[in-house]
Amino acid sequence: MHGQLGEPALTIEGLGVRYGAVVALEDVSCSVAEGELVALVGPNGAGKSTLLRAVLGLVPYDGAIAIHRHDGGALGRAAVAYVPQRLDVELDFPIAVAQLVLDGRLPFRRFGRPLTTADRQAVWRAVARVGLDGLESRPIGALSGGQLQRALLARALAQQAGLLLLDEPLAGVDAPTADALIDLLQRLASDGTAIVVCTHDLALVRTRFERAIGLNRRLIADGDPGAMLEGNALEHFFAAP
Amino acid sequence: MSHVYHWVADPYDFEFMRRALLGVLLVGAVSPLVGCWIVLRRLAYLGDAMGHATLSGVALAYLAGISITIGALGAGLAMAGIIALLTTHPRLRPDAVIGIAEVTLFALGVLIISRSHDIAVNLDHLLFGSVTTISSDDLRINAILGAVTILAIAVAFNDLRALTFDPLHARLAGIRVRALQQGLLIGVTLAVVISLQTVGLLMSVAMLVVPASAARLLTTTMARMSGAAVAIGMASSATGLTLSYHLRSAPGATIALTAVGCLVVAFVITRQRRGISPAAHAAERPATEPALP
Repeated sequence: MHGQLGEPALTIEGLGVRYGAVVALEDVSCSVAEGELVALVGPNGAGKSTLLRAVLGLVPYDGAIAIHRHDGGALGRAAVAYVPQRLDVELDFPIAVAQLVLDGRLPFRRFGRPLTTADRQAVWRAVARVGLDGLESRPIGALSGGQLQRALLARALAQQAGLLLLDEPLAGVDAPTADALIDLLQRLASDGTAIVVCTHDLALVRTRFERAIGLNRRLIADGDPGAMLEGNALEHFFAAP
Repeated sequence: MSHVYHWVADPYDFEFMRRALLGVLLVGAVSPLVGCWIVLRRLAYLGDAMGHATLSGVALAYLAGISITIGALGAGLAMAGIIALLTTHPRLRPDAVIGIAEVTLFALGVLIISRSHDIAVNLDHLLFGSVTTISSDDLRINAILGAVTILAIAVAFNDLRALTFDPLHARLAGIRVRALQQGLLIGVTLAVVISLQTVGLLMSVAMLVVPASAARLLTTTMARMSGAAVAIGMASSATGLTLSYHLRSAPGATIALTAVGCLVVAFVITRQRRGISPAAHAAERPATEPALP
């Protein structure tokens, strides 16, 4: 995709998650390398969000999750950055773009510590990277959907994590906005960041991603989305788990 | 001109009015600052419930002959403790838990008062406040509690904002979510305690919710909202106290209605400025945007 892929950034082995008696994920193994942009696809209830939650350490799990070839957590919470669904945040909260992005520095900012030059530079770079420069002082309530999605992405970038997880960033944005967002993610990946994107949009996955991981409680497919979505793997996607 | 001067200055020829002014200015600064977080976290009802709950502590303090500030503080902390304990059960939602804690402590207060004639006589002082009888000692205790609250909010400002805006991100970033929530409950307790003698326990919610809501209409960042809420709170406290002197009305109620007046002005101004409802405002946003550079 972008020349040589780097070292594994995320390795999952035999991952299982259950919510009480309900098995959400079972025996999932896969890995994502530095500089790789991967789509995580599957129907509702397939366990996509659960997989992200396990990687983030929000749910107990069986199996092993290694980030940068260390045990999860070994590099601290700053090693993984998470971009929530745009509609999960309160759209009219009194917060400006720069402050939102600054929240990406929270893992480094202990209670009450003042801003450092490193904080400011990380914020400035992240805002520029997503193309929101000039809008730093704009309240998020005055942003378009695509701009807000980019602001949330900038917050994750300010964290300077090696692994980026995005939950349905393409939901509810129009085609040009989605295209522009994927262009941006590809540029970030080419700089060495490992990126996992949860999405429903199979058409976009087929045309814009070079690798997709298909999930339906178990690992269904892993590889070139074109081949995957034309073969009978598609039927597995929408079969009852 | 001299009419205006006398109208403003004459009440403060009296020492009790000068003490009262300090008392209401303190409440006008502290409660709105805490109130911003209450309003944004949709916990306005908590402020009201906390006021009612203090009745039990105040009644007990009367019986024991100790400071009602200490009694109210104890009741407020008990309220915070009950809420913290019950919300650990996932099937009890926060609004129901607040109602349960409120009714427990309020009923306890009514029960104590119903068995004691002494307290019943002074009841309206507690319910509606009596800032003109505030003592220097009370003022000093309130100033200390107020300073602690302001300092705590200032130190926790970024963490509170992160928690309120996006709780999941806050948790992932290592913010101690539960501790921060408990801290905010204690902040509400302190704000209510210092407003007991000013606006009384039935209206302690006024200074928590009204100035912060007015500020919410006028501003678009947390820092500005906090500043505006404090300005509105202090201005309506001083104005309301002065008005109450001339109208011979209850200071607490006059201050509360002055704050409501500020809210009405903010509502009218922002309605005219926008000329549209928030829903229409959202619909007006551009459907598409320029491609990335």
